[in-house]
Amino acid sequence: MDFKNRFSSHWRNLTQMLIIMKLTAVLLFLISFEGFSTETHAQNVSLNLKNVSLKKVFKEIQKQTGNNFLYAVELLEKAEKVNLVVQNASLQEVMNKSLQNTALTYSIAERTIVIKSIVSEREVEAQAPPIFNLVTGKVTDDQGQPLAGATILVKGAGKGTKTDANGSFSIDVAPNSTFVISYVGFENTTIEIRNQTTISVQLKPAIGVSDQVVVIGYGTQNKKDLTGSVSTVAAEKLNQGINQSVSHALQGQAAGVTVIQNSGEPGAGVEIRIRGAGSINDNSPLYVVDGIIGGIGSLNPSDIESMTVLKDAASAAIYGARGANGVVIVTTKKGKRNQKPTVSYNSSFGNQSVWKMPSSLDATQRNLIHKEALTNDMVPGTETIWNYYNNPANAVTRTDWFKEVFKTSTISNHNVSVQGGGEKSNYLFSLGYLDNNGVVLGTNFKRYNVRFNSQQEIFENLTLGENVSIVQSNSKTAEIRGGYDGVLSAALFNMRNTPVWADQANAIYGTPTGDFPNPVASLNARDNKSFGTELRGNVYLEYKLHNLVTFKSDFGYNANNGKNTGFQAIAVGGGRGLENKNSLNESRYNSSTWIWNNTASVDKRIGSHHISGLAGMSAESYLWEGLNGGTAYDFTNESRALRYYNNAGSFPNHVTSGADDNTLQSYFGRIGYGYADKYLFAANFRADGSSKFGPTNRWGYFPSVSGGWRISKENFFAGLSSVVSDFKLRGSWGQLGNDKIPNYQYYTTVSGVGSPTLNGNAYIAVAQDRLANANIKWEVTTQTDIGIDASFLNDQFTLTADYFNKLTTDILVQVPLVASLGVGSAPFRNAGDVSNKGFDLGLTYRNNKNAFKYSITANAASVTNKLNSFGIAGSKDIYAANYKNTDVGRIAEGEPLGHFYVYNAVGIFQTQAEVNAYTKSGNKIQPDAVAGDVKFEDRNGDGVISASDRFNAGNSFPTLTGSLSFNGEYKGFDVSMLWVGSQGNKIFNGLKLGGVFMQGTGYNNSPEILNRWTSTNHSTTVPRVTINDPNNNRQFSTLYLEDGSFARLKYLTLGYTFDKKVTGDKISKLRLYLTMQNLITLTKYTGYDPEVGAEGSFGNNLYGLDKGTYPISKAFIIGVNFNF
Amino acid sequence: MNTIKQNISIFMMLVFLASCNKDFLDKQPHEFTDAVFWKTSEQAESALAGAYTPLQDEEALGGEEWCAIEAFGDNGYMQDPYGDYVAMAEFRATQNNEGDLSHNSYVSYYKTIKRSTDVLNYVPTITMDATQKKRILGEANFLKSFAYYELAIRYGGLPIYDSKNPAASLVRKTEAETWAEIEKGLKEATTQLAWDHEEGRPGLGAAWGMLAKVYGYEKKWADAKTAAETVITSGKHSLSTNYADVFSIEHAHDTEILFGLGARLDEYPITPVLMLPNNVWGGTHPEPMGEGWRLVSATNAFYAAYQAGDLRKAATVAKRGVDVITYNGSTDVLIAPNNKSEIVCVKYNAPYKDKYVGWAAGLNVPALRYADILLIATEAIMNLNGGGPGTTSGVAAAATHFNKVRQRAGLAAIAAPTFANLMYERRMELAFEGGDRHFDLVRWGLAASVYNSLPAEGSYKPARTYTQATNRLLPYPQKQIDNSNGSIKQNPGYLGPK
Repeated sequence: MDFKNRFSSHWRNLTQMLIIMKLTAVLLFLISFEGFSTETHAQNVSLNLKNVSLKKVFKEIQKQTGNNFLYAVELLEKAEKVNLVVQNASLQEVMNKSLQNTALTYSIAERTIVIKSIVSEREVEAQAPPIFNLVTGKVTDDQGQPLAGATILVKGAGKGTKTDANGSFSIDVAPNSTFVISYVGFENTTIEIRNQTTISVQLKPAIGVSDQVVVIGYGTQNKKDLTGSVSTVAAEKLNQGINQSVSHALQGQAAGVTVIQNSGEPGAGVEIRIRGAGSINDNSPLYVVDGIIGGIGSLNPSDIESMTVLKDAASAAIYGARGANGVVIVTTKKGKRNQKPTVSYNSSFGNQSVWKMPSSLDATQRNLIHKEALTNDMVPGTETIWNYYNNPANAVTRTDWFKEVFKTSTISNHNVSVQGGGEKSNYLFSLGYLDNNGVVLGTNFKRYNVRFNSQQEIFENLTLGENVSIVQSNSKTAEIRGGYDGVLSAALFNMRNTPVWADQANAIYGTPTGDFPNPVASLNARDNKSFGTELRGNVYLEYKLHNLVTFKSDFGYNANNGKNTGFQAIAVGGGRGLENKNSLNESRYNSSTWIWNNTASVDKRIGSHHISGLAGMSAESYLWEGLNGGTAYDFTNESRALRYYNNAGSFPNHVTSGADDNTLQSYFGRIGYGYADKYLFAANFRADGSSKFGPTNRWGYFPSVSGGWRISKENFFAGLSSVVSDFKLRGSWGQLGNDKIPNYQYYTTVSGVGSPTLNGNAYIAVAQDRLANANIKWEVTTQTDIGIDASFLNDQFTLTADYFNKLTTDILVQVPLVASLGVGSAPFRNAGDVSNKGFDLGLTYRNNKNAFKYSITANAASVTNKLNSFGIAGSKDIYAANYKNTDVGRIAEGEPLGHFYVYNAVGIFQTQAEVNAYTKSGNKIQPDAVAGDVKFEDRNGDGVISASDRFNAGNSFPTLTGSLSFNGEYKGFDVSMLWVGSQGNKIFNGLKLGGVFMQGTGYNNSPEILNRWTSTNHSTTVPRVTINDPNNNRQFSTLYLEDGSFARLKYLTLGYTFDKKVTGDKISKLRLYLTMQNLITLTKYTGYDPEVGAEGSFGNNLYGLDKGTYPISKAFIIGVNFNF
Repeated sequence: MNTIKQNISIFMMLVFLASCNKDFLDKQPHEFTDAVFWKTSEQAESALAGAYTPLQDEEALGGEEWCAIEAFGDNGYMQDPYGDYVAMAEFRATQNNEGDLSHNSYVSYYKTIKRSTDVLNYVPTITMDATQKKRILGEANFLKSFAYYELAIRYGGLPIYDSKNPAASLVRKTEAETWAEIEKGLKEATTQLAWDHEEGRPGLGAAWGMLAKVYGYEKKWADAKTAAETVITSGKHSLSTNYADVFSIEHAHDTEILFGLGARLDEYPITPVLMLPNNVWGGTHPEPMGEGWRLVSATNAFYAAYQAGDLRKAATVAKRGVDVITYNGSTDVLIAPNNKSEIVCVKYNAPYKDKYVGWAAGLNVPALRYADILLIATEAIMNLNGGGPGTTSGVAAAATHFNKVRQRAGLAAIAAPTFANLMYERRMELAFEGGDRHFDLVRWGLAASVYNSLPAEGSYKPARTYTQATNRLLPYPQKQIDNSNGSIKQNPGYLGPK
């Protein structure tokens, strides 16, 4: 077969077809002259051309911007040669200039610049009648600035003109003509001419034209006008693969925004921290979705259009209250005006598995270690404990618990959306489905999302719009982290000679010998489910008065309903907690929030002055109600259909219920002033009243100011413009508030405290178990930020860098009380101050010039955190983050929040002589130690090892967090990847207790223990094995701390987009892709996963306390994007 | 259009003004505030119940600490590797960094103290039935003193809670002041309580009985005798016929129990499981494994100390390979291979005889028994007749009370019991009931001589060195010293602020 010939003939046909298609396209463009949606690219052009043909000009522009030109050759041949000198001008500017003295105009669509005659051929045919009036006019932009080079076309007359440098034009037209006025970047405007001879036209900027518009608090702003520190992430930049939540999708995308995955558990939350931790309490940022404050946990990531992170005080100040930890603004996708209905279908499917399979000692190794420990402990041979190890049946390895617990599972995600719009309205409807089966046996998370939004211009200048979303989520969770019931600890600590099943036919599990349950039995028997439905929506009315003031009233409502049920079936032989009784606990809750924002805003350019302002008020109300049914027991039938209280045999508890509510009322304003786009200034003020504080301290007042200087706009900078395209210096100062404490803290309450058994029955009991502080007030963060935004070499390089200094004062903290006050929880108090200083840096390099287009982005951030003072006389330390009833973290003056506070293990005593030589005033410092035991540092030099020898042994916060992403495309192929990582943080590996330090004969150990100290193996990190542990080797010391630095390839995606020539006109996009999530993890950390979230009752400040984290899974996903 | 514009402008103005409602920011908690509480008799009862609740916490009365304290004496040892607690029980600790048993029980007892004090402060202002009010105040007084007592025998002088003066909680009173406070509450209770009482609540018997015990600690022997004999002569209390019955659900109403912590199935307390080995039959009979907590077990030495014929032995302990017990429907020789010693404490096993019924088996905790009061009366009479600790002579006057206890145990009466006889009875009668053995030896000044001469037993009960000056009190919980920033001082002989 002559393949080559066939191929080439096909190829010829295809080429011919393409040429025809091209011409058809040209015709289509020409016919639909008015209807072009245009799009500018942020690409600037510098030219120095004298007396050249337009063709040459276009070639040069093509070279610099990557835009293609489409034109009929004859058109250009008629045109005269031009002179063109521009420096770093926008594409529109250059195009307008080059066509200034021609009868040509242009439009930009999909990176293609189409050159047309002002008078289209069709219109030439329909010649106009021969009576003319001279009409003169002026075309300006929405700010009243003249537009030079705007095209005025007389509809049906086959003629037209352009405006001069002052935006003026004149043309002879027949009466009753229609002008169509167009200018790139603005909406086309149609004006009917009756008898007027002068007209004035103001063009509206086209919606969605510029990708430089940034969503900010209660409005938008051009990126070039920003004076605060703001990061934006567009939808296409969000993390690829299947993201369980919007937060997951944000990881690594913005400098200074740290996304901490607590757990890889399906449905588990993610924490976002912006610029460190200011508060001892809740440090999560404020989330705003489509203008309404509310959580983002349930949002479907594929509904996101863009996310903006407000990092500094000046940007967040408009949200005053609760903006102290930064603000994440999420904008969902919307339909566009004049858009034909477009259907997008995205579907992906994959499987996931644990990125690293942990291991534990097999039965033989366990025997070796445990017998050695018994020998070291001098347990007499007569004690029965030896029998277990001497029984050969117990030396047989029957199970690898980790392989029983961690399974490869499937994950899938499907989204479909329809969007479109007419002249005065637009809409979008989307459906989403996520099914995430966790890597731990039986765990699952399913979510269904429905979203609808639309916008209608119901009268002139009056727009009505709404967003509605309904989310339903179901999850089945496992006991992952429980101190004793946790299946991951159980997998490590259970003996491997125990079989999963003792008698599978009769459903009898292999019974563990220790305190832990059989993890498979636990996963099978515990049916913990949660179910939630969320309805969220907002409706708004926007009115523009005299094209000057925009009023907006926006009402949002959010209702949540949910229930959690935990049923525990009897698992015969399953061990701890599983054998005896079945039980059911069911709780239900509903919550609702409404929020009403009203704003009036102005944005006006007068000459070189740009003035903007905003005034508004907001009211917000939250109510939660919950009911807990208590635990019921003794179900005679465990069938799923009967897992309700009605079928319980006994019900010894009371039902409890309660409610929680709060309100917030705010007034705010912003003024902005810019001169010549060069000098920028903004000021914000917000007053917030919170129901969480008593009447006298209720109101907080939060001001901010910021300024910017676009040095690159200065004349003296012109010489550098070929290298530095844009350079802006920013500075800001502002104050923000934080009221994230539980409600009603200024009241003393008498509340339910369990129920004692009196006269044989449960008795209702109450107590005043909490002290109040009537004087608590707002926690205030004052932040100063200095930053630069710069771009170089025609925007090939862009750089954003910020230094910030945050000082949080009057921190709200629960200083622990002495127990002799007899209350369960300490009152909140306004204590001293915490400082966070650091920088964030974002750097992007793009290359769009060649067929291989790519960009590389690097983000890095560093924060240094310190508790400057406690501010409460006599208080100096708060101990935090309890693990197995012992604190491992501390909050102390002069130290970073949340450092580990443990003993300093300085080595292993190699000989008894070393023990004997470790003395103070002739007395042994560790009298109970023998060779092989841990040597602890006597830091206070008092000759004994006691609690006061603990020290700041390392920070749980990284010194540096960062990410690196790469995106490239070549002829339909695309590749993208993202690396995220942290450096310099410590993790407390809790599973070393039991894993490496013996906790008793009931516990298996991790393989690391094989490197224990013996008389022949002089280990320096793992002490001798001992259960009695007279030297307390197992007490929390630096031996538990590990370097938590890691780098993880969050995703790697390979995609191919089919050419339109192949897919045809009906299909606008067809892309297939393969994504690998968490493919590579580089870390020295030996625990399950280096991404360990927060723990501890004192806020979320102590990260990195690893109690056996649900590891993040590695996934291979294939998917398709299909638009038509 | 203009009308629309105007209307909209007006609407916007209204919107701006609309939520300027003054009350908008006032949110009341959905629980009683102090301002509306303390008004009715029902509220008084539920607040009193609030004072009972902490006693059933996992580490409090009948809980882990209450069981583990037996390891301080010579009856038992800790089976679980609670290193810091074991160090204290072996008199090796230099501080009390034990954050679980020791610290949590301390916290629980203080919650009872605070809540009882609140009841005593507020209930007098409530208009209600006078008898009911008296009983409520009496119970609150008893609970407060009981909780102080449990802490005082462990730690010595204590901060005395005063709702009007929070600073009082930051300073420890002297031991004498603390005992005076305990005594005061109990004396008041004796004027407020009645002999008849509900299960789980103290009656007059408990108030007088507890007072007798407190006088014993204070060595006020005449007062102790009077208080104890008030109970004895009341005719309201008597010993249960069989010793073993006292620790069964069926006999929860026996008048021998002066004060017991009420239990209900599947809730609290969890005393039975704390003593149960996790593998009773060693695989020879079906049984739910991994369920017995075996926190504390008995020593071989304790088992060997029983006199022949003492019926309390089988009710208290069982020896591996020797004794037959009934558990989970099987009756057989005990195996319990995971027990470090050969001896298991079976005192609280009764609920598990037919079937294992979970951690909280519904068995009440005997906090104060009539037998204890008979022995306190015996001790008081001995001391008043020259027969205190260190003496060897018999005191015939003490025989009546003494022999009631002894004879129920199936042992022959002693005409003139000696102090050594009393020591034996108290040890065997009250073993594994909250550490009486240890606290008795300490208050008698005999701990050093008993403990220091004991040889090591296995790897679980090493030879110990007890020093009266230091070890008569436990080291004060370090976290409390820390949280007070050192205004709470450490006990003598331990590291910390003095």
